Amino acid sequence: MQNFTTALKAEHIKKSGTGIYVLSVLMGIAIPIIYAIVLLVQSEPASPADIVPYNYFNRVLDDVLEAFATFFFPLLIIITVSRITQLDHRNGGWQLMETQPVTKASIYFSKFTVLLISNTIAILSFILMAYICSGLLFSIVDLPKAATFSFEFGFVTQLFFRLFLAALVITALQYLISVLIPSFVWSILTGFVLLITYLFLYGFNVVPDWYPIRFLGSVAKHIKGSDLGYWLTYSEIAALLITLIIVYIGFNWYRHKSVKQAFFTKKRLAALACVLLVIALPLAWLLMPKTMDAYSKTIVSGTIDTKDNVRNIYILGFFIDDTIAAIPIVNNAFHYEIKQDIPADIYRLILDEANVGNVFFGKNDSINIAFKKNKAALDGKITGTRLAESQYKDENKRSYSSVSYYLQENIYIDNVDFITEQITNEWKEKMEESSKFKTADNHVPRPDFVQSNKKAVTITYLNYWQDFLKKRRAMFPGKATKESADIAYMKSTVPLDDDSMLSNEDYFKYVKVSYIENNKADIDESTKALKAIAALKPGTFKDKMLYWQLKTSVKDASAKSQRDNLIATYAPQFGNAKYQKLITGIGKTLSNLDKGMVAPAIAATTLSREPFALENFKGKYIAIDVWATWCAPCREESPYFDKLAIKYKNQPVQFVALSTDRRIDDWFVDATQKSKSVLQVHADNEKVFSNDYNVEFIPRFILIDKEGKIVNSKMPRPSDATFEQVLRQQLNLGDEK
Amino acid sequence: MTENIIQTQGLTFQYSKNRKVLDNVSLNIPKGSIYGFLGPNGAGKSTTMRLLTGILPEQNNAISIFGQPLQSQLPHVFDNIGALVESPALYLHLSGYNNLKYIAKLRNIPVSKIDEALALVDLAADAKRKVKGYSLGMKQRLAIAMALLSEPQLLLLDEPVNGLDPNGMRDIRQLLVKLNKEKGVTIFVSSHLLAEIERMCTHVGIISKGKLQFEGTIQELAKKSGLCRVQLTLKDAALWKDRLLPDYPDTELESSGRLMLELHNREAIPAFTKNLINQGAEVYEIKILNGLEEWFMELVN
Repeated sequence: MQNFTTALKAEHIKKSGTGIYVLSVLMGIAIPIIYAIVLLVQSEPASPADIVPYNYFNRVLDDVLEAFATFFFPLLIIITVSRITQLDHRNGGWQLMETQPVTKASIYFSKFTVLLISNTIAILSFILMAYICSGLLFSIVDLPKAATFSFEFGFVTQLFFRLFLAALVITALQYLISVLIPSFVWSILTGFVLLITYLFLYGFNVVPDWYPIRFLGSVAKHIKGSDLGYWLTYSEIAALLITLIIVYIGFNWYRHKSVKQAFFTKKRLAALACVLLVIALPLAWLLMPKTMDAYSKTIVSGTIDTKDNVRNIYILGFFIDDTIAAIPIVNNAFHYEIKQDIPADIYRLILDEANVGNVFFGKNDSINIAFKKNKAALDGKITGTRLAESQYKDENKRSYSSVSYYLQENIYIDNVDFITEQITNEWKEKMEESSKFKTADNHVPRPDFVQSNKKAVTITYLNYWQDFLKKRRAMFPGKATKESADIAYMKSTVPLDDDSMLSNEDYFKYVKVSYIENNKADIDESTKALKAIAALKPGTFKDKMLYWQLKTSVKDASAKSQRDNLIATYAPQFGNAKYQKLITGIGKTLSNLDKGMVAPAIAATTLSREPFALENFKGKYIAIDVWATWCAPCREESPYFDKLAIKYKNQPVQFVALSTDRRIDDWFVDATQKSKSVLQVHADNEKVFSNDYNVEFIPRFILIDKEGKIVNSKMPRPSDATFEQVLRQQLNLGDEK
Repeated sequence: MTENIIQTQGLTFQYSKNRKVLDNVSLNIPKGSIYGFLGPNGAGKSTTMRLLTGILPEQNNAISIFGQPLQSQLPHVFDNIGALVESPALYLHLSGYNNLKYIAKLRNIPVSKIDEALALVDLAADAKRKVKGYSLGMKQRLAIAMALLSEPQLLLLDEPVNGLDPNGMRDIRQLLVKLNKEKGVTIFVSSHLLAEIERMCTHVGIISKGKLQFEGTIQELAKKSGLCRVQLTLKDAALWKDRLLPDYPDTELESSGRLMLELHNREAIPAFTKNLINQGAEVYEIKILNGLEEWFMELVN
C-alpha cells in the first residue's frame, strides 16, 4: 500500500505541467456554461400556467446531464487516458518505472488512480458549475412561481457516485488499450469509434446493455435513479463488475507482457476462469430483464403531495366509465383493495372532478401512485407491480408516424408499394420498440401487457391500411390494391371477435370496417355497421360493439325522431341491460337539449360571488360561451363573442361566458380582465354541467330563448358568420345590408 | 573465491521456438568489478540486459543477483540497483531537476540528494531547464544521474556512451571509473565498442549470436588475443627487413621507412628493442598494432 501511495505521488510529479486536471475542470464546466449562455440569450417569459413545484437546480442538471455524460465526459476520458499513458510511451517511461523498486500493481493502478481523480474532478466541476449557472439563471431568468432553488445533497451525492461508477468501464477499457498499444493513434481511434457508434446506435435505439458508454447514457436517462429506492441502479453495478473484469485482464496482460504468458499457462488460465465465473454469473443475472411478480391482492394506494383540498380518487373502466373503485383520500393518502375480479386493462383515474391519467393494471396487481398537485397542474408517478407498463406508456405517448401524415395529406396514395412498405416497416419498428423497453432497474413490462400492446400497435397499423384502401377506392376507383404478405400476416394476428380488446376504440374501428367494407349498398357507414353488428350472435362481444356504434350514431343523429328510432330499433338487441340503460340515458340527455326543450338548470357564480341562474334572465335571449382558461381555441373565439356582445348590447340578449375551470381562482384573474358586456360566471359543478349539456369538447356555444328554452345547444362558433345569422333571426332583425 | 554480484547459469531465451536469442549464457560478474559486456549489434546484449532487469520475464530462472534468484526479489531488488536500459528514459516535458525528483519520490530518497547527483554529472547549471532542450550528452548524463541517485551497489548500463562524441565518452568513462574506485559500485556495462571496454573495464564478457564466446579479466583477454604485432619506424627499413627475416619470418616492408612484424607477446618488446638498438638500428618509433581488434572480429564473425 505504501508502495502504491509512493507511486501515486510520483505520478503526480510526472504529470505536473501537463494540465491534465485543468482539462478535467474545463470539460466539466463547459456544458453548464454553454447552457446558461444559450438560455440567457433566448430567454423567454415563464408560462402563466400552473406547474407542479420543482427544484430548478435539478431541472438544469437534467437538461445538461446527457450532453456531459454521453459526450463531453467520455471524450475527456479518451483524451486523458491517452495523454497519461503517452507520457510513458513517448519517453521510455514504462521500462524506467519497471527498473524502480515499485511493484507492477503500483505502476498500473497509480496511473489508473490518476484517471479516476481526473474523472472525479470532471464530475464535481460539472455539478458545481451546474449549481452556479442554475443559481444565476434562477435569479435572472423569468421562472414560474412554483420553481424553487436548493442543493439536495443526497440526490447530488448519489448522482456523483452513479456517474463515477458508470464512467469506470470506458476508463478501464481505454486504459487497457492505451497501455498495451504504444501508438496513441489506436487508443484515440477506438475511443472515437466507441463514441460515435454510441450516438449512432442511440439514434436507432439499439444500444446493447453492456456498451461502454451506455452506462453513462443510462445515468443521464434515469437521472433520478432507481424507481424501487435502491441507491444504485443495476446499470451502475454492472458497470462495476465489467470494470473488474477489464481491469483484471488489463493488469495481467500488462504484467506478463503477452496474452499467452498472462492467461495461457495452466495456473493463470484457471485464475482467469475463476474471475470470469465469479463476476459473469452475477453480471448475467443483473443484465437479464426482470418482470414484477403478481401480488396476492389487488391494491391501489398512493399519496398526493399538495396544498389543495382533495377528497376522492376514482378508478373508472375505460369502456363505459363504470366506477371500479371510489377511494377516499385521508391525510393526502389513499389505500384500497379491489375485491372484484378485474381484467388487466387500461383504467381511468379521476381525482375529484379531474381526469388525471390512465393506468394499466388488473387482478393481483399492487399499484402505488405518487401525485404532485399544484392547482391545475398535476404530476403522477406510478410504481408497484405495473411500474414498467406505466413508464412504457408515458414514454411512448407521443410517437410520430409518417404513414399517418401521408394519409392525412393524401400523399403517395397512388403508390401502393411505397405505402405498404411504410406501414410494414413502421409497424415492425414499433413492435420491436415495445419489446426493447426497460426501466431504470431493468424491469420490462409483463407478457400480458406486451401482448395487448403489440395487438394495439398492430391494430393502429391495420387501421392505416384500411384508411389507405378507403382513399384508394375514392381516388382511384378502378384500380386494384394488392395486399402484401406482411399485411396479411398482421391481419392474421388480430382476431375479429376479441371482446377484451374492445376498450380500445381503434379495435372497434378495425372490426367495424371489416364488417362493412364489402357492403356496396347506398346507405351511410353507421347504418351498415349497425346492421352488421345486429346480425352478430348475442354475447358480450356483440354488446360492446353495439354500444360503441350506437353511442356514436345516437350522438350524431340530426333529429329527435332519428335518434328515437335508432334507440327503439337497436337498444333491445343488447344482451346486457346495463348497456341498454346507458344508451337510453344518453338519448334522454340529448333529448333534453333538443330545440324547444327547457334548458337544464345551470348553477354558477358571478365575479361578485353571487349565484347565477337562467331564470333570472327570463324575457331575454341567453348566449353562452363555455370555456376554460387553459383552452387555447376558447381564447381564440372569445374576442368574436365579445364583439357580438357589444354590437347587440341594446337587444334583449344576455351574453354569458361560463367557465369550466376546476379552480375558481384561475378563472377569477382572467375573467376580471374580460369585456364587461359579457357576464362572467363560473360553473359550480363542472361535471354536472358537462353531463347535462353533453359537453365533450370546449369551446361550446349555446343559445337559449326568452322562455328559457333551447334554441340550439351546439351553436356554430362566433368566428363563423352563421352564429350571428342565427342570433339575428331569433331577434327578428333580418339580414344586415 | 570472489563473490559474484550477478550470476547466470545457462541463461537461454527465445521469442519463437526455432530461434534462440540467448543460448546457454553463463555470466559471472564479480563484486567491485567493471564488467564490460561486449558484442556486435544483434548479438543478444539488449535481451540480456532486459532479462537482468526483469523487464523481460525470464524463461528458465537462471539469473541470480546478490546471491538470490532475481524473480523472487522483484521489484525491491532495485533498491540496490541503478539501471539504464534503452537510453535515455527521461520525461522530456519535465526539468532535469523534476526528473530526478520523480525518481527520488519513487525510491524514497531525500530531495537533498538531487543536487549532489546533478553536480556529479555536471548538470547543476541546467537543472531547471526542460529536458526537451538538452543535448544528447546531457540527456545521457541525466539518465546516469537518475540511475545513481539511490547510490546503488550495482549499476546496469546499456550502451551508456552510444551516440556521444569523444569528449562525452571520456566524461562518462571517467565518471564510472571514479564511482567504481571511490564507492565500490559494481558496474555492468554493455557496449559494441571494444576500445571503450578495454579502456575502463576490469572484466569482459563477449557475446556473439546469442552465445558467450569469452569471459575473463582484461588481462586474460590480452593474453588470449595471442601474438603482438608491432610497427617499426626506422632508417633503412629494407635493409633491416632482410636482417630480421630469419628470426621473424613474417616481417613485411610496409613502406620505405616502416616494417611490420609479429612478436610472441607484449613482454617481448623491451628485449627485442634492446637487441635492435644494440645491432645499430636507428629507431624512430615502435608501436603496438592492436591484435585484440582482429582477434575480436574473428571471434564474433
